[in-house]
Amino acid sequence: MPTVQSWIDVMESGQGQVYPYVGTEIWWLILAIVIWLGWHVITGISETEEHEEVCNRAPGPNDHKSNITNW
Amino acid sequence: MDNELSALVTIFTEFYYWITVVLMFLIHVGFCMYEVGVSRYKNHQHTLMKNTMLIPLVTITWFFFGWWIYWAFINGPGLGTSIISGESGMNLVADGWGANELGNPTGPAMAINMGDHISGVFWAAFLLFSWTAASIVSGAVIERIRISAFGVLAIAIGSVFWTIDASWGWHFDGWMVKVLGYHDAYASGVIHAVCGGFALGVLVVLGPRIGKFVNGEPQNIGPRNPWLVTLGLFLIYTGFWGFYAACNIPIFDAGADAGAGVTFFTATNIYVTPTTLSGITMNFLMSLAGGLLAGYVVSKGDPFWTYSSGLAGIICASAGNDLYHPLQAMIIAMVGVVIMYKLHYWVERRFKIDDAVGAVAVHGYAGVVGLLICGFVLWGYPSSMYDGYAAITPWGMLAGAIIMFGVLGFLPGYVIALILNSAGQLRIPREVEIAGQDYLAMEAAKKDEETVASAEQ
Repeated sequence: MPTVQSWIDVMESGQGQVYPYVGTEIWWLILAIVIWLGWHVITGISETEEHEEVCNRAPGPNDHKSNITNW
Repeated sequence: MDNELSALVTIFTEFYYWITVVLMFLIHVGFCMYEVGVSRYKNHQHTLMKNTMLIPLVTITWFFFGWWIYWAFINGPGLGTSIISGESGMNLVADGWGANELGNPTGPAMAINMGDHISGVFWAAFLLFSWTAASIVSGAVIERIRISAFGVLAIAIGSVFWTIDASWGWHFDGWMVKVLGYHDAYASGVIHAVCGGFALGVLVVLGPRIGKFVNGEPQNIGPRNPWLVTLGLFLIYTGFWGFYAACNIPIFDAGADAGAGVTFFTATNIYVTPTTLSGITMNFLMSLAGGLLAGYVVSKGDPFWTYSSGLAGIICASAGNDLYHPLQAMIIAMVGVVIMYKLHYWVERRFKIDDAVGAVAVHGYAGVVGLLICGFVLWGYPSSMYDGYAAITPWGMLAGAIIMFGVLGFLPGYVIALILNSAGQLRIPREVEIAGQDYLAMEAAKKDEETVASAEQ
Protein backbone atom coordinates (compact mmCIF):
# COMPACT_ATOMS: atom_id res chain seq x y z
CA MET A 1 0.00 0.00 0.00
CA PRO A 2 1.51 3.40 -0.92
CA THR A 3 2.27 5.85 1.87
CA VAL A 4 0.16 8.49 0.15
CA GLN A 5 -3.26 7.52 -1.15
CA SER A 6 -4.80 10.98 -1.16
CA TRP A 7 -2.97 14.32 -1.13
CA ILE A 8 -6.03 15.89 0.46
CA ASP A 9 -5.63 13.51 3.39
CA VAL A 10 -1.95 14.47 3.66
CA MET A 11 -2.79 18.18 3.84
CA GLU A 12 -5.65 17.72 6.27
CA SER A 13 -3.77 15.42 8.63
CA GLY A 14 -0.43 17.29 8.57
CA GLN A 15 1.32 14.05 7.61
CA GLY A 16 5.06 14.67 7.15
CA GLN A 17 6.62 11.51 5.74
CA VAL A 18 5.48 10.73 2.22
CA TYR A 19 8.21 8.42 0.91
CA PRO A 20 7.50 4.74 0.24
CA TYR A 21 7.80 2.05 2.90
CA VAL A 22 7.86 4.33 5.96
CA GLY A 23 9.14 2.26 8.89
CA THR A 24 11.74 0.33 6.90
CA GLU A 25 14.42 3.05 7.09
CA ILE A 26 16.76 1.01 9.27
CA TRP A 27 17.01 -1.74 6.64
CA TRP A 28 17.84 0.75 3.89
CA LEU A 29 20.48 2.21 6.18
CA ILE A 30 22.08 -1.18 6.87
CA LEU A 31 22.15 -1.95 3.12
CA ALA A 32 23.74 1.44 2.39
CA ILE A 33 26.43 0.93 5.06
CA VAL A 34 27.27 -2.50 3.65
CA ILE A 35 27.61 -0.96 0.17
CA TRP A 36 29.81 1.82 1.57
CA LEU A 37 32.19 -0.52 3.41
CA GLY A 38 32.26 -2.87 0.44
CA TRP A 39 33.31 -0.02 -1.80
CA HIS A 40 36.38 0.59 0.35
CA VAL A 41 37.37 -3.09 0.26
CA ILE A 42 36.92 -3.42 -3.51
CA THR A 43 38.76 -0.16 -4.21
CA GLY A 44 41.67 -1.06 -1.95
CA ILE A 45 42.12 -4.48 -3.59
CA SER A 46 41.92 -3.18 -7.16
CA GLU A 47 44.33 -0.36 -6.38
CA THR A 48 46.85 -2.83 -4.96
CA GLU A 49 46.54 -5.03 -8.07
CA GLU A 50 47.13 -2.02 -10.32
CA HIS A 51 50.20 -1.00 -8.34
CA GLU A 52 51.63 -4.54 -8.44
CA GLU A 53 51.33 -4.60 -12.22
CA VAL A 54 53.22 -1.31 -12.57
CA CYS A 55 55.85 -2.43 -10.05
CA ASN A 56 56.48 -5.63 -11.99
CA ARG A 57 57.17 -3.66 -15.16
CA ALA A 58 58.88 -0.72 -13.43
CA PRO A 59 58.58 1.89 -16.19
CA GLY A 60 60.97 4.85 -16.14
CA PRO A 61 60.02 8.41 -15.21
CA ASN A 62 59.58 9.44 -18.87
CA ASP A 63 58.07 6.25 -20.30
CA HIS A 64 54.57 7.70 -20.02
CA LYS A 65 55.45 10.20 -22.73
CA SER A 66 55.36 7.46 -25.36
CA ASN A 67 51.76 6.82 -24.31
CA ILE A 68 50.48 10.34 -24.89
CA THR A 69 47.68 10.07 -27.43
CA ASN A 70 47.04 12.40 -30.32
CA TRP A 71 43.27 12.36 -30.16
CA MET B 1 2.99 27.47 7.18
CA ASP B 2 -0.61 28.42 7.82
CA ASN B 3 -0.43 31.99 6.48
CA GLU B 4 1.22 33.76 3.54
CA LEU B 5 3.88 35.56 5.58
CA SER B 6 5.21 32.52 7.42
CA ALA B 7 5.10 30.58 4.14
CA LEU B 8 7.12 33.32 2.45
CA VAL B 9 9.77 33.33 5.18
CA THR B 10 10.04 29.54 5.16
CA ILE B 11 10.20 29.15 1.39
CA PHE B 12 12.63 32.09 1.10
CA THR B 13 14.92 30.49 3.68
CA GLU B 14 14.71 27.12 1.94
CA PHE B 15 15.54 28.70 -1.42
CA TYR B 16 18.30 30.85 0.07
CA TYR B 17 20.19 27.83 1.37
CA TRP B 18 19.53 25.95 -1.85
CA ILE B 19 21.24 28.73 -3.80
CA THR B 20 24.23 28.64 -1.45
CA VAL B 21 24.59 24.89 -2.02
CA VAL B 22 24.70 25.38 -5.79
CA LEU B 23 27.22 28.21 -5.44
CA MET B 24 29.40 26.20 -3.09
CA PHE B 25 29.58 23.38 -5.62
CA LEU B 26 31.87 25.74 -7.53
CA ILE B 27 34.39 25.43 -4.69
CA HIS B 28 34.74 21.78 -5.53
CA VAL B 29 34.94 22.41 -9.27
CA GLY B 30 37.67 24.92 -8.48
CA PHE B 31 39.58 22.50 -6.28
CA CYS B 32 39.46 19.86 -9.02
CA MET B 33 40.80 22.28 -11.64
CA TYR B 34 43.38 23.58 -9.23
CA GLU B 35 44.74 20.16 -8.31
CA VAL B 36 44.89 18.96 -11.90
CA GLY B 37 46.66 22.20 -12.81
CA VAL B 38 49.27 21.65 -10.13
CA SER B 39 49.86 17.93 -10.74
CA ARG B 40 52.14 16.58 -13.43
CA TYR B 41 50.75 15.10 -16.65
CA LYS B 42 51.33 11.50 -15.62
CA ASN B 43 49.16 11.97 -12.51
CA HIS B 44 46.25 14.05 -13.83
CA GLN B 45 43.57 11.37 -13.94
CA HIS B 46 44.26 9.94 -10.50
CA THR B 47 44.52 13.42 -9.01
CA LEU B 48 41.13 14.30 -10.45
CA MET B 49 39.50 11.05 -9.39
CA LYS B 50 40.89 11.34 -5.87
CA ASN B 51 39.23 14.70 -5.42
CA THR B 52 36.06 13.59 -7.17
CA MET B 53 35.49 10.47 -5.11
CA LEU B 54 35.51 12.38 -1.86
CA ILE B 55 32.14 13.76 -2.98
CA PRO B 56 30.22 10.48 -2.65
CA LEU B 57 32.27 9.21 0.29
CA VAL B 58 31.77 12.31 2.42
CA THR B 59 28.16 12.66 1.28
CA ILE B 60 27.02 9.21 2.38
CA THR B 61 28.97 9.27 5.64
CA TRP B 62 27.64 12.76 6.33
CA PHE B 63 24.20 11.20 5.97
CA PHE B 64 25.10 8.17 8.10
CA PHE B 65 26.72 9.96 11.03
CA GLY B 66 28.26 13.38 10.22
CA TRP B 67 25.11 15.45 10.70
CA TRP B 68 24.26 13.44 13.82
CA ILE B 69 27.68 14.29 15.31
CA TYR B 70 27.09 18.01 14.71
CA TRP B 71 23.95 17.99 16.83
CA ALA B 72 25.08 15.42 19.40
CA PHE B 73 28.43 16.82 20.56
CA ILE B 74 27.65 20.45 21.42
CA ASN B 75 28.50 19.88 25.11
CA GLY B 76 31.75 18.09 24.38
CA PRO B 77 30.30 15.97 26.02
CA GLY B 78 31.04 17.05 29.57
CA LEU B 79 32.61 20.42 28.75
CA GLY B 80 29.56 22.66 28.75
CA THR B 81 25.87 22.74 29.52
CA SER B 82 23.29 23.10 26.78
CA ILE B 83 21.09 26.17 27.13
CA ILE B 84 18.29 24.22 25.49
CA SER B 85 18.26 20.99 27.44
CA GLY B 86 20.22 21.96 30.55
CA GLU B 87 22.24 18.77 30.09
CA SER B 88 26.01 18.48 29.83
CA GLY B 89 26.19 15.06 28.20
CA MET B 90 25.39 14.04 24.65
CA ASN B 91 22.64 16.16 23.15
CA LEU B 92 20.12 13.61 21.94
CA VAL B 93 16.51 14.50 22.63
CA ALA B 94 16.36 18.16 23.52
CA ASP B 95 13.26 20.15 22.67
CA GLY B 96 13.22 19.52 18.98
CA TRP B 97 16.90 20.31 18.55
CA GLY B 98 18.28 16.99 19.70
CA ALA B 99 20.53 14.90 17.52
CA ASN B 100 18.14 11.97 17.55
CA GLU B 101 15.49 14.05 15.87
CA LEU B 102 17.60 16.10 13.48
CA GLY B 103 20.56 13.88 12.63
CA ASN B 104 19.21 10.36 12.87
CA PRO B 105 19.51 8.94 9.33
CA THR B 106 16.34 6.92 9.87
CA GLY B 107 14.39 9.85 11.35
CA PRO B 108 11.65 11.91 9.71
CA ALA B 109 13.84 15.05 9.41
CA MET B 110 16.30 13.22 7.16
CA ALA B 111 13.95 12.78 4.20
CA ILE B 112 11.28 14.61 2.24
CA ASN B 113 8.93 15.84 4.94
CA MET B 114 5.87 17.98 4.29
CA GLY B 115 6.28 19.60 7.70
CA ASP B 116 9.97 20.52 7.39
CA HIS B 117 11.34 22.64 4.55
CA ILE B 118 14.64 23.55 6.17
CA SER B 119 16.42 20.53 7.67
CA GLY B 120 17.36 18.93 4.36
CA VAL B 121 18.78 22.03 2.73
CA PHE B 122 20.61 22.94 5.95
CA TRP B 123 22.07 19.41 5.95
CA ALA B 124 23.16 19.99 2.35
CA ALA B 125 24.81 23.34 3.11
CA PHE B 126 26.85 21.73 5.88
CA LEU B 127 27.67 18.84 3.58
CA LEU B 128 29.21 21.24 1.09
CA PHE B 129 31.37 22.60 3.93
CA SER B 130 32.41 18.99 4.54
CA TRP B 131 33.45 18.49 0.93
CA THR B 132 35.55 21.61 1.21
CA ALA B 133 37.18 20.27 4.37
CA ALA B 134 38.23 17.06 2.65
CA SER B 135 39.23 18.87 -0.52
CA ILE B 136 41.63 21.13 1.37
CA VAL B 137 43.52 18.04 2.51
CA SER B 138 43.33 16.49 -0.95
CA GLY B 139 45.57 19.07 -2.61
CA ALA B 140 48.40 18.75 -0.10
CA VAL B 141 48.91 15.03 -0.68
CA ILE B 142 48.78 14.74 -4.47
CA GLU B 143 50.98 12.47 -6.58
CA ARG B 144 51.90 9.96 -3.85
CA ILE B 145 48.89 8.96 -1.75
CA ARG B 146 46.74 5.88 -2.39
CA ILE B 147 43.19 6.83 -3.38
CA SER B 148 41.83 4.21 -0.96
CA ALA B 149 43.83 5.80 1.88
CA PHE B 150 42.68 9.26 0.94
CA GLY B 151 39.09 8.01 1.04
CA VAL B 152 39.52 7.08 4.70
CA LEU B 153 41.20 10.40 5.49
CA ALA B 154 38.50 12.35 3.62
CA ILE B 155 35.78 10.72 5.70
CA ALA B 156 37.74 11.33 8.90
CA ILE B 157 38.12 15.06 8.32
CA GLY B 158 34.93 15.62 6.30
CA SER B 159 32.43 13.65 8.35
CA VAL B 160 34.01 13.37 11.80
CA PHE B 161 36.66 15.82 12.98
CA TRP B 162 35.56 19.08 11.37
CA THR B 163 32.04 18.14 12.42
CA ILE B 164 33.09 17.82 16.05
CA ASP B 165 34.79 21.21 15.95
CA ALA B 166 31.72 22.74 14.32
CA SER B 167 29.57 21.24 17.04
CA TRP B 168 31.90 22.68 19.68
CA GLY B 169 32.64 26.11 18.22
CA TRP B 170 30.27 26.76 15.33
CA HIS B 171 26.91 26.20 16.96
CA PHE B 172 24.90 28.70 18.99
CA ASP B 173 24.81 26.13 21.82
CA GLY B 174 28.43 24.91 21.43
CA TRP B 175 30.55 24.64 24.60
CA MET B 176 33.51 26.55 23.10
CA VAL B 177 31.27 29.57 22.45
CA LYS B 178 29.92 29.48 26.00
CA VAL B 179 33.10 28.70 27.91
CA LEU B 180 35.85 30.24 25.76
CA GLY B 181 33.94 32.99 24.00
CA TYR B 182 35.07 31.41 20.76
CA HIS B 183 34.01 33.44 17.72
CA ASP B 184 34.57 32.21 14.19
CA ALA B 185 31.76 33.56 12.03
CA TYR B 186 33.00 32.41 8.60
CA ALA B 187 35.18 29.53 9.70
CA SER B 188 38.82 30.65 9.87
CA GLY B 189 39.23 27.87 12.41
CA VAL B 190 36.36 25.44 12.11
CA ILE B 191 37.02 24.70 8.44
CA HIS B 192 40.40 26.11 7.51
CA ALA B 193 42.65 25.77 10.57
CA VAL B 194 41.39 22.29 11.36
CA CYS B 195 41.90 21.08 7.78
CA GLY B 196 45.31 22.72 7.51
CA GLY B 197 46.34 21.04 10.75
CA PHE B 198 44.94 17.71 9.59
CA ALA B 199 46.82 18.00 6.27
CA LEU B 200 50.05 18.77 8.11
CA GLY B 201 49.59 15.71 10.33
CA VAL B 202 49.14 13.52 7.25
CA LEU B 203 52.10 15.11 5.44
CA VAL B 204 54.47 14.41 8.33
CA VAL B 205 53.80 10.69 7.92
CA LEU B 206 53.31 10.62 4.15
CA GLY B 207 56.60 12.30 3.32
CA PRO B 208 57.59 14.41 0.31
CA ARG B 209 57.31 13.52 -3.38
CA ILE B 210 60.41 11.95 -4.90
CA GLY B 211 62.68 14.77 -6.01
CA LYS B 212 61.14 17.45 -3.85
CA PHE B 213 64.20 17.59 -1.63
CA VAL B 214 67.63 17.07 -3.19
CA ASN B 215 70.52 17.11 -0.74
CA GLY B 216 68.15 18.58 1.79
CA GLU B 217 67.26 21.54 -0.42
CA PRO B 218 63.61 22.00 -1.49
CA GLN B 219 63.06 21.97 -5.25
CA ASN B 220 60.16 23.70 -6.94
CA ILE B 221 57.81 21.22 -8.64
CA GLY B 222 55.85 23.93 -10.39
CA PRO B 223 52.27 23.83 -11.66
CA ARG B 224 51.86 21.91 -14.92
CA ASN B 225 49.16 24.34 -15.99
CA PRO B 226 49.17 27.68 -14.17
CA TRP B 227 46.10 28.88 -16.06
CA LEU B 228 44.04 25.94 -14.82
CA VAL B 229 45.25 26.85 -11.34
CA THR B 230 44.09 30.42 -11.93
CA LEU B 231 40.64 29.41 -13.10
CA GLY B 232 40.37 26.96 -10.24
CA LEU B 233 41.09 29.63 -7.66
CA PHE B 234 38.65 32.07 -9.27
CA LEU B 235 35.97 29.40 -8.97
CA ILE B 236 36.92 28.81 -5.34
CA TYR B 237 36.53 32.56 -4.69
CA THR B 238 33.10 32.41 -6.33
CA GLY B 239 32.00 29.44 -4.29
CA PHE B 240 33.30 31.16 -1.17
CA TRP B 241 30.60 33.83 -1.61
CA GLY B 242 28.06 31.05 -1.36
CA PHE B 243 29.87 29.76 1.70
CA TYR B 244 29.62 33.16 3.39
CA ALA B 245 25.91 33.36 2.67
CA ALA B 246 25.41 29.80 3.87
CA CYS B 247 26.99 30.67 7.23
CA ASN B 248 24.17 33.15 7.87
CA ILE B 249 20.57 32.71 8.84
CA PRO B 250 18.93 34.99 6.26
CA ILE B 251 15.95 36.27 8.24
CA PHE B 252 15.42 35.90 11.96
CA ASP B 253 13.68 37.78 14.75
CA ALA B 254 16.73 38.08 16.98
CA GLY B 255 14.99 40.45 19.38
CA ALA B 256 12.24 38.00 20.23
CA ASP B 257 14.66 35.08 20.49
CA ALA B 258 16.92 36.98 22.87
CA GLY B 259 13.97 38.00 25.02
CA ALA B 260 14.83 41.65 24.44
CA GLY B 261 11.20 42.69 24.23
CA VAL B 262 11.63 44.11 20.74
CA THR B 263 11.08 42.80 17.26
CA PHE B 264 14.38 42.88 15.39
CA PHE B 265 14.38 41.06 12.09
CA THR B 266 17.89 40.62 10.76
CA ALA B 267 20.32 38.25 9.14
CA THR B 268 22.47 36.52 11.73
CA ASN B 269 25.67 34.56 11.80
CA ILE B 270 25.79 30.91 12.89
CA TYR B 271 25.73 32.01 16.55
CA VAL B 272 22.42 33.82 15.93
CA THR B 273 23.96 37.25 16.58
CA PRO B 274 23.04 40.01 14.13
CA THR B 275 24.99 40.91 11.00
CA THR B 276 24.09 41.87 7.45
CA LEU B 277 24.65 40.08 4.16
CA SER B 278 25.52 43.48 2.76
CA GLY B 279 28.29 44.15 5.26
CA ILE B 280 29.89 40.74 5.08
CA THR B 281 30.01 41.02 1.29
CA MET B 282 32.02 44.24 1.65
CA ASN B 283 34.36 42.54 4.10
CA PHE B 284 34.73 39.50 1.86
CA LEU B 285 35.83 41.68 -1.04
CA MET B 286 38.12 43.88 1.03
CA SER B 287 39.86 40.88 2.59
CA LEU B 288 40.22 39.33 -0.87
CA ALA B 289 41.78 42.56 -2.07
CA GLY B 290 44.11 42.76 0.92
CA GLY B 291 45.21 39.18 0.41
CA LEU B 292 45.94 39.70 -3.28
CA LEU B 293 47.88 42.92 -2.64
CA ALA B 294 50.05 41.36 0.06
CA GLY B 295 50.51 38.12 -1.85
CA TYR B 296 51.71 39.90 -4.96
CA VAL B 297 54.36 41.74 -2.97
CA VAL B 298 55.66 38.90 -0.80
CA SER B 299 55.74 36.41 -3.68
CA LYS B 300 57.22 38.97 -6.08
CA GLY B 301 54.31 38.62 -8.47
CA ASP B 302 54.17 34.83 -8.57
CA PRO B 303 50.67 33.98 -9.90
CA PHE B 304 50.31 30.76 -7.89
CA TRP B 305 50.97 32.49 -4.60
CA THR B 306 49.17 35.70 -5.49
CA TYR B 307 45.90 33.88 -6.19
CA SER B 308 46.37 31.63 -3.17
CA SER B 309 46.98 34.71 -1.05
CA GLY B 310 43.64 36.16 -2.12
CA LEU B 311 42.05 33.06 -0.65
CA ALA B 312 44.29 33.16 2.43
CA GLY B 313 43.34 36.79 2.99
CA ILE B 314 39.64 35.95 3.11
CA ILE B 315 40.32 32.98 5.37
CA CYS B 316 42.33 35.11 7.79
CA ALA B 317 39.64 37.78 8.13
CA SER B 318 36.75 35.31 8.16
CA ALA B 319 36.61 34.74 11.93
CA GLY B 320 35.44 38.31 12.53
CA ASN B 321 34.12 39.36 9.15
CA ASP B 322 30.60 39.59 10.58
CA LEU B 323 31.74 42.58 12.64
CA TYR B 324 34.96 44.05 11.21
CA HIS B 325 35.14 47.34 9.35
CA PRO B 326 36.08 46.68 5.70
CA LEU B 327 39.44 48.40 6.17
CA GLN B 328 40.15 46.22 9.18
CA ALA B 329 39.27 43.17 7.08
CA MET B 330 41.71 44.28 4.40
CA ILE B 331 44.62 44.90 6.77
CA ILE B 332 44.01 41.71 8.77
CA ALA B 333 44.06 39.81 5.49
CA MET B 334 47.38 41.37 4.54
CA VAL B 335 48.97 40.49 7.89
CA GLY B 336 47.73 36.93 7.62
CA VAL B 337 49.09 36.50 4.11
CA VAL B 338 52.58 37.70 4.98
CA ILE B 339 52.75 35.37 7.99
CA MET B 340 51.38 32.31 6.19
CA TYR B 341 53.73 32.80 3.21
CA LYS B 342 56.85 33.12 5.36
CA LEU B 343 55.75 30.24 7.57
CA HIS B 344 55.17 27.96 4.58
CA TYR B 345 58.76 28.23 3.38
CA TRP B 346 60.20 28.07 6.88
CA VAL B 347 58.31 24.84 7.67
CA GLU B 348 59.13 23.38 4.25
CA ARG B 349 62.86 23.94 4.70
CA ARG B 350 63.05 23.18 8.42
CA PHE B 351 60.88 20.04 8.56
CA LYS B 352 61.04 18.86 4.92
CA ILE B 353 57.29 19.09 4.49
CA ASP B 354 56.09 18.84 0.89
CA ASP B 355 52.76 20.63 0.81
CA ALA B 356 52.13 20.49 -2.94
CA VAL B 357 49.50 23.24 -3.09
CA GLY B 358 50.32 25.26 0.02
CA ALA B 359 47.13 24.04 1.70
CA VAL B 360 48.59 23.98 5.19
CA ALA B 361 49.70 27.58 4.79
CA VAL B 362 46.67 29.03 2.99
CA HIS B 363 44.11 27.28 5.18
CA GLY B 364 45.93 26.26 8.33
CA TYR B 365 48.34 29.09 9.14
CA ALA B 366 46.09 31.84 7.77
CA GLY B 367 43.17 30.37 9.72
CA VAL B 368 45.11 30.27 12.98
CA VAL B 369 46.42 33.81 12.51
CA GLY B 370 42.86 34.93 11.77
CA LEU B 371 41.60 33.45 15.04
CA LEU B 372 44.35 35.09 17.07
CA ILE B 373 43.81 38.50 15.48
CA CYS B 374 40.06 38.18 16.01
CA GLY B 375 40.67 37.64 19.73
CA PHE B 376 42.36 41.03 19.98
CA VAL B 377 40.24 43.07 17.57
CA LEU B 378 36.91 41.80 18.97
CA TRP B 379 38.15 41.65 22.57
CA GLY B 380 35.19 42.19 24.91
CA TYR B 381 32.43 41.62 22.34
CA PRO B 382 29.70 39.23 23.49
CA SER B 383 30.01 35.88 21.77
CA SER B 384 26.27 35.34 21.97
CA MET B 385 23.08 37.22 22.73
CA TYR B 386 22.12 34.58 25.29
CA ASP B 387 22.99 34.91 28.99
CA GLY B 388 25.95 33.16 30.55
CA TYR B 389 28.29 33.12 27.56
CA ALA B 390 31.93 34.21 27.88
CA ALA B 391 32.96 37.31 25.97
CA ILE B 392 35.49 37.16 23.13
CA THR B 393 39.09 37.32 24.45
CA PRO B 394 42.58 36.72 23.04
CA TRP B 395 43.14 33.75 25.36
CA GLY B 396 39.79 32.21 24.49
CA MET B 397 40.63 32.49 20.80
CA LEU B 398 44.15 31.15 21.39
CA ALA B 399 42.66 28.12 23.12
CA GLY B 400 40.24 27.78 20.22
CA ALA B 401 43.07 27.94 17.68
CA ILE B 402 44.98 25.21 19.52
CA ILE B 403 41.88 23.00 19.62
CA MET B 404 41.16 23.56 15.94
CA PHE B 405 44.64 23.25 14.42
CA GLY B 406 46.22 20.90 16.94
CA VAL B 407 43.70 18.78 18.83
CA LEU B 408 41.08 18.20 16.12
CA GLY B 409 43.35 18.79 13.11
CA PHE B 410 46.99 17.76 13.36
CA LEU B 411 46.57 15.01 15.94
CA PRO B 412 43.91 12.89 14.23
CA GLY B 413 45.54 13.43 10.82
CA TYR B 414 48.88 12.22 12.16
CA VAL B 415 47.43 9.21 14.02
CA ILE B 416 45.22 7.98 11.17
CA ALA B 417 48.05 8.42 8.65
CA LEU B 418 50.35 6.52 10.99
CA ILE B 419 47.89 3.62 11.20
CA LEU B 420 47.42 3.53 7.41
CA ASN B 421 51.16 3.74 6.89
CA SER B 422 51.92 0.94 9.31
CA ALA B 423 49.47 -1.23 7.34
CA GLY B 424 51.26 -0.30 4.10
CA GLN B 425 48.12 1.41 2.83
CA LEU B 426 49.08 5.09 2.84
CA ARG B 427 51.61 5.73 0.08
CA ILE B 428 51.86 4.35 -3.44
CA PRO B 429 54.95 2.24 -4.24
CA ARG B 430 58.08 4.06 -5.41
CA GLU B 431 57.86 2.44 -8.86
CA VAL B 432 54.33 3.77 -9.37
CA GLU B 433 55.30 7.25 -8.24
CA ILE B 434 58.18 7.32 -10.73
CA ALA B 435 56.12 5.91 -13.60
CA GLY B 436 53.13 8.09 -12.78
CA GLN B 437 49.81 7.03 -11.29
CA ASP B 438 48.15 7.16 -14.72
CA TYR B 439 50.73 4.95 -16.45
CA LEU B 440 48.43 1.99 -17.12
CA ALA B 441 45.48 4.20 -18.11
CA MET B 442 47.67 6.15 -20.55
CA GLU B 443 49.07 2.94 -21.99
CA ALA B 444 45.58 1.55 -22.53
CA ALA B 445 44.48 4.77 -24.22
CA LYS B 446 47.50 4.63 -26.54
CA LYS B 447 46.71 1.05 -27.52
CA ASP B 448 43.11 2.06 -28.26
CA GLU B 449 44.34 4.89 -30.43
CA GLU B 450 46.70 2.64 -32.38
CA THR B 451 43.99 0.02 -32.90
CA VAL B 452 41.53 2.61 -34.19
CA ALA B 453 44.22 4.17 -36.41
CA SER B 454 45.13 0.81 -37.96
CA ALA B 455 41.45 0.08 -38.66
CA GLU B 456 41.10 3.43 -40.41
CA GLN B 457 43.98 2.75 -42.84
